[in-house]
Amino acid sequence: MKSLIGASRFSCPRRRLVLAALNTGLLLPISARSAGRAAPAIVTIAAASDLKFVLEEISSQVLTDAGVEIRLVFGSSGNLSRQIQQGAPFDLFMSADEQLIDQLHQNGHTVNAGVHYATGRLVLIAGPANPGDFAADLPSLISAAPRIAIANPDHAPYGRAGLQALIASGFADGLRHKWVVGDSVMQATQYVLTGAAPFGFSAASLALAPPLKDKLKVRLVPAELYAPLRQRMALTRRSNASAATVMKLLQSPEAARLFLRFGFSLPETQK
Amino acid sequence: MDWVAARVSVMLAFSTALLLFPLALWIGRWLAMGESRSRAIVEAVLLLPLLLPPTVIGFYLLLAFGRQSPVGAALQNWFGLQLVFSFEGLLLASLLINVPFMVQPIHRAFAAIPNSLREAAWVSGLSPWATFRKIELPLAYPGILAGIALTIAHTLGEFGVVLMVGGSIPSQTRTLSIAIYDRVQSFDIAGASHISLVLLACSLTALVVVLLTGARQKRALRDR
Repeated sequence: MKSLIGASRFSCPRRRLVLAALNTGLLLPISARSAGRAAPAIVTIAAASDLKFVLEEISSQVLTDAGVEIRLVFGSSGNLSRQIQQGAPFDLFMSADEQLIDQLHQNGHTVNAGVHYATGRLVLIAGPANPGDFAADLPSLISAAPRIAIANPDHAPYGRAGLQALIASGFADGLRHKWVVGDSVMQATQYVLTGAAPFGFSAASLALAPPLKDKLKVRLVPAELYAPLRQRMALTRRSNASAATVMKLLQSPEAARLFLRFGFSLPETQK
Repeated sequence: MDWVAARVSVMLAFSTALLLFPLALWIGRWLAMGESRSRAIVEAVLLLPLLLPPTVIGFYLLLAFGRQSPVGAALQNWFGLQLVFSFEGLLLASLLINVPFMVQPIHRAFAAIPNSLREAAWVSGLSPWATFRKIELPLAYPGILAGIALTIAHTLGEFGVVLMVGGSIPSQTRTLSIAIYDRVQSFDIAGASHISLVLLACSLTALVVVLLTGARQKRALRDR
């Protein structure tokens, strides 16, 4: 009878290898973490998701002058604003909604009232699930659609603009029963791209950007149907001098050119 | 492949396993071999994280430790410690969630050791500590390994809590699962599938390790 008791279970070479690997793996976090502390200055930007493509372009072309490492976190402006209030370590907040910056400033989370850097444009998009004619007028297009992708109006500025446009077009309840709700305008755009909804409300800066332009049919929503999407940015309380430099660079003529190219309009002071 | 996110994920998984292991070893053995009547209640409480949706745990952690809570504000002001939107906060959440994954297999492993073996060891002159080292641990070894592997694999895949409590801050709280979500949202399907395959491979490896070790133990017991 083979006896289990008394025989050392750890004498098998393969088992020793497994144990050694496990121990090394457990030590790895400690060394990796301390190595990461000697990094250059880092500026973390919380950016509204409609800035996804334009900010990546600006970051690689203009913000390199600041000589810092830029980290971009995209999300719906309302979500990011909430995270800042709860202590998220962002240095600069680029919102797609002015009022969020105002609220943060009143509650003492930002250094000042911020700067109006661009104005966004709402568009209606149609994706691969929708081969039909896109030239009809907006209300009839929307009433014919079985589903409409829209960012959550509760915390996404472009979603709120989409709701305003729907109500102004004569749909009193905003056609809620047809909504496919995205967490941000980027997710709403993605729903149309993947065919979850034939139509959707998106941002011009996303729908007209090079990666998506050829995959979507885009129509500008008339500006009178929604409140202007004045986008504002501000430094947070915890920001450093590098963040201030980055913010200044975002207002430079080169950055302004890129904002224009991606479908934004500029505030009067910058034109 | 997002290597920064991979590093965050791996650090989180191994740190969780490392910190949970001693505690789980002690509690698992006590649940299996102790004689207190409160063991049933303790076991039920420890199983709770399995039943709660991760977003609920994340929500309560946000409430308890966010900057707007008294505890969170105190931690920030006195110790400069932030338990939301930081790696430390993720680690705390991960520790809470993985308790059942580490304790359960260890508990079952120790419970499977017949008392007669321990009594034979005592009668043969081994102290309780020597019995633990030479008899109980080697017999419970597959279960312990299963607990560690399950904890690591589960933490690698954790999403709900990380989203609630971590945000998606590169190099601090953006784990591989969050990176996949971000990639999909950014229309980068190829990147997302790449990372997903890596995670799938890791989970399969963990499972194979656990099953193989268990199989050897069963075969050894069967062939006595």
